[in-house]
Amino acid sequence: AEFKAAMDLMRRLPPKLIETSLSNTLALVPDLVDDLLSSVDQPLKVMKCPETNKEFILCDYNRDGDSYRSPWTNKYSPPLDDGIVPPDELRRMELTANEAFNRYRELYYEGGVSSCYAWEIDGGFACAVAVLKTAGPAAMPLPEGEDPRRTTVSSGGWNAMHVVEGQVGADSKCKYKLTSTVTLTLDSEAKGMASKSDLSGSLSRSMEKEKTFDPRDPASHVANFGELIEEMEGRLRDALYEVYFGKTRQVVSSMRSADDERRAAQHNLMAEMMARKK
Amino acid sequence: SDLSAQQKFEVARGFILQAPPGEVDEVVKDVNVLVGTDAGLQEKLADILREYNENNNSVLKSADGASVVITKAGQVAPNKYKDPSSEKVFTVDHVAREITGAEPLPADPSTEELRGPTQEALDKYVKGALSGGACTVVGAGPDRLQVVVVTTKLNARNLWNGRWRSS
Repeated sequence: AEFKAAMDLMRRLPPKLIETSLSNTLALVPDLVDDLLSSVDQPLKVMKCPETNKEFILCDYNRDGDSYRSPWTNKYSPPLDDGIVPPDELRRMELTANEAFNRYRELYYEGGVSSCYAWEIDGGFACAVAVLKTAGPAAMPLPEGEDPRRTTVSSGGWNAMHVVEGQVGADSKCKYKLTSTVTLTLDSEAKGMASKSDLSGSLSRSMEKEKTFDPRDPASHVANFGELIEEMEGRLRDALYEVYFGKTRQVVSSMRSADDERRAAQHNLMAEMMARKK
Repeated sequence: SDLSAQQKFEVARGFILQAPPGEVDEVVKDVNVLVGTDAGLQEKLADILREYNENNNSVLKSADGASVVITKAGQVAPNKYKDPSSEKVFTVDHVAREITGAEPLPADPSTEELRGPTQEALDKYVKGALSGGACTVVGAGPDRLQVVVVTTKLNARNLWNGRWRSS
């Protein structure tokens, strides 16, 4: 009952404040820490790998205690003697996944950080793919005389977490189950104006597909679930656009009509009346 | 848990004040489950909800169609708010979110000269530009008026709620 109440609360409170809301909730019910940390998507953070100096994403899937495993070196920071690591074959697949998604990320995001973490499950494997891209913070100075409604995004973040489970079956077939969540934050601030706007939220979807793979090449799994993730991200981006902009605009319009809408309505009314007089 | 009763109460109060439009009751329900009984939430719930209603300028109604916009400037006594438009002072229940009583509001000629026409002009604007909107104009000191324009559209069944509020 407490878990259900906590999840319901996290869904209703302002998404911008999810970190504080979650830590306050955990202070109230510390027993829920494992369940909540694995069920609530928090804004992703990064750390620099001490050996390679490359950044990697911190999440529940590469965490052991308070240490995080670098996908580049397979080592934990801060160091652990017996931190959990994937078995060798899975580690090879994980390396391929990281390389592949690095290229994917560069093509689709032109920046940002991506990390993949794999682990064993009954009957197959699981892999988490995280992508983080942030922009800002920089309040765009509005050009002299410019309409404040033309303010653009001054800071924001795209947090994607994909978790795919691969259930290996007979005949070199594998069932891939993908659950994806994207958290998007868009802030718009015009320097010198008192106006600020904040659009934040997250969207979760899942899909399942069966594909054939090459048992001699663990990288073939990467190609398979990579395709699913690519398709899923496209869908999520479109859905976010619809909800953030389409739906929000609809709700606002239902409360307060836009000036141009009213002027257009008035104009049409006048035109109709003039036509009738003739 | 490790939090004192007072700390638990503060967390609970923080959560309730952040509730989105139309979802206060659900948030209160969730918070009650998480906080338990030792934080003294039940007794202080009315205070928290009064703060919520004042922060968000909730519009409270009565069974016979009267309504009042809750504003700090309009408060004349604990749980009593004036509505100059209807020349009444309404007693409200912040938890049930409704009007429970009414008494006449004596007219104040000193502010009415400015307040009256402002209210009239704004009422016309609100009728044209907002859907189901409410507007209240109350005196807030010499030559000062507090104006609040608010409307909410609730559609929990389709998973959206909205509030337009300007002051």
